[in-house]
Amino acid sequence: MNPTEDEIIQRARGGDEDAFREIIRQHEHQVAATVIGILGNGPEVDDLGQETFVQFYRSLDRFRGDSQLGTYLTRIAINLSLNELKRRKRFTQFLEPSPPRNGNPVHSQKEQETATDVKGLVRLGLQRLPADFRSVIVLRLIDGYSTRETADILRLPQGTVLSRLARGQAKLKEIIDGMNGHGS
Amino acid sequence: MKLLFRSLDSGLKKKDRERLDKALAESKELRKRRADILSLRQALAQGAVRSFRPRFDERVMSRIRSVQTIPRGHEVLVDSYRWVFKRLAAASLLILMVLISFAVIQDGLFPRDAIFYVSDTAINRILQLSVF
Repeated sequence: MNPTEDEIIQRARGGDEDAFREIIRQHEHQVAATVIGILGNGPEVDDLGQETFVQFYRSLDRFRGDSQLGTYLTRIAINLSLNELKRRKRFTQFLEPSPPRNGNPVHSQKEQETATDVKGLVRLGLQRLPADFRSVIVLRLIDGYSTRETADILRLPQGTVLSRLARGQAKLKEIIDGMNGHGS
Repeated sequence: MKLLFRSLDSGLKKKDRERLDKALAESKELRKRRADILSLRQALAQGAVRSFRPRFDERVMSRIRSVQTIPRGHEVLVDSYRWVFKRLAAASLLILMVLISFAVIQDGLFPRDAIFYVSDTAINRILQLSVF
């Protein structure tokens, strides 16, 4: 019989490395989807993913299981990712007279040309969306959290999440149409 | 549009559902927008990258081993020291700047004359330069 999540956490608390490894394996995909959804697939995302689990390891004794482990890890991952976005924004503002919106990387023409498939364009478009919209879209539409859970993770009212979702999707559609060259 | 988005993300009351169904039946444009939004959502869900580089768990474990010099649970204490130290450092810097400003104003540390005073000899030498 497979051990439950609580049992694995208990073992990890006791210093069992294999148990913690199991936690990583079970939640890596979710953390990756969150971090890469917010930051794009750059070289620093692996580091942020690691930091998510390191922070959880440090707080193992404080984790009481009030929220599900996946939600707890997603909260850490999204906070780290949003901080990284802020750091990028400060950095680009410092270096460039006219920074790209939200400190996101500027995607070259070549990059756009290679992202010809719909999924690639959507991924690229997502990186151009303001951070507020991006975070709700990643949690709700990529991670698959409910509106209520998304509101809970971001500590926002549900109404705000709903309005950001609607505006975010409309903006994303606009961005993708612009990249496709049909501006609708 | 508002109802359309709400129908996808939070569900609708019966009355609103009927309104939306009616609007969808009447408007080709709205049907197209719904189809666009649905395909966008599908592309987002299916196109997401959901894994890090291979052997991610090993990298995490080795990082954990490298930070284990501080016993687990003691981080709260260390973090609170860091928090206090940052604020003390900021306050000390502020006090230092106030003291220096005060010293400058009072002519104690950097006398005004020492900064702005030009001696007669220096003025004479300047006037003797060929430019004048």
